[in-house]
Amino acid sequence: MHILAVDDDPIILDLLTHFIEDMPEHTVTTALSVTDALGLMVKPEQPFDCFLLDIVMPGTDGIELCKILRGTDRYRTTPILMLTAMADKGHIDSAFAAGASDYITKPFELNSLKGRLSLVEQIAREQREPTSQTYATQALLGMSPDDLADEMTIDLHQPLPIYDVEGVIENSAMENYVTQLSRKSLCGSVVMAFTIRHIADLHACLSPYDFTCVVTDVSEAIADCLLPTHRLVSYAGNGTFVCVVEGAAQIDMERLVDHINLYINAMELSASDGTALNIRVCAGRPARLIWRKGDSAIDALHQAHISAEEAADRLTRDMGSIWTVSHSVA
Amino acid sequence: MSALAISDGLAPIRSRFLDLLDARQTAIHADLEFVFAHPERAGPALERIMADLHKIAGTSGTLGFADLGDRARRAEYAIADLLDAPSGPATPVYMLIIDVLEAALDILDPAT
Repeated sequence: MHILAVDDDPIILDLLTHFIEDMPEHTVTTALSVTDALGLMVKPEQPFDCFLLDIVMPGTDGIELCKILRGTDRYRTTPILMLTAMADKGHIDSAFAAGASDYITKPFELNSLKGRLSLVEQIAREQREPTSQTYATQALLGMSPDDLADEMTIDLHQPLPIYDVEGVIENSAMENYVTQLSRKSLCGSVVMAFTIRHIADLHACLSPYDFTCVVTDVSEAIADCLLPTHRLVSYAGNGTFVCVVEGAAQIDMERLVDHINLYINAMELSASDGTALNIRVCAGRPARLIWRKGDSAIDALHQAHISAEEAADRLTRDMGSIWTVSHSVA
Repeated sequence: MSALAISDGLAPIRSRFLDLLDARQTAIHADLEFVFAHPERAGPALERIMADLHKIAGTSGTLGFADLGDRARRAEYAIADLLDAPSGPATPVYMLIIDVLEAALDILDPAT
């Protein structure tokens, strides 16, 4: 990968250069400021496959640069690793919300840097593959419905990257977020998930473009309705969104789901042919993260995901049994 | 590359780090003196100290000065808390900064 490292500390840049020189599969270019970095990026013959950005820099910081990169077509999905101090949760949250893929804590060691770069290299490789879900989504959002290629498909069960929605991040970034943060930092946060009801039917009926728009709109509704708590939302596939919410002492899930559904209803969603779409979500059981870390935090995400899908199935079954119950009672 | 080779390769970076550490501890010392002399106008000086400590904390551990890095990180967070709540006790924060300066001096001039 061709990596751009941006940090106002020349020692960090020296260390990164030294370590990355030891990895023949990578090359690195360095910049001491965001201004310098942007100057390097205007040269079209020198695209980057990965960014390492210091969060805390004077003037424009790494989070702002991350937002700038995500706003460009070229770097919308390029892996961005933030360089940050340990336990700096406020900055980490902001970085993920700005579109960061993962982060590396300073001081870092060669092996941890190597490991993290090999993980993002895999992501970078996927970005370059024209058949990937990410590419498909990018293409879909960049094309008018009439121009869509017939062979372009979205796999129902795969996570879908969602762009330009505040508080919504990629599913792989969400997993990195809960895996990397310390137990203390995540303690008290709540994991919850919402599922779009009858998602398989919607997936079968809608074009890939319309399906992507529905997922994007619902993600926006969920992220907005979770305000003012600090929240991160990602689309995990199969109509399900997983969320990590901080600072919510008590959550009335029933009211929250009603609020989201009203919000979606007010959006007046429709397919490209003008057909009105009746989109509703349901929620699973929220789980508070208490001293969870690593795999157990990932497990909490998966449990929330499963719980929301079970709730959707249960609602469908219950709706189907209404007349049977009424008949037997009568 | 072996651990020894990596260590050899780090020597010039470590040397540059020590040069910068010397300059940073001098700057922190000057800012701290200003803070003591003008507590009512301490904010910008504390922010400068915090920025220097942030840089020291970010690289010390990788270059074999983990203790210095830990002290710098503690002092950095303490300053951040003090800037968030200026009515809090300042003396313990200044002691943490002095801790860093002492650790830096031990590294730069072990004979003292």
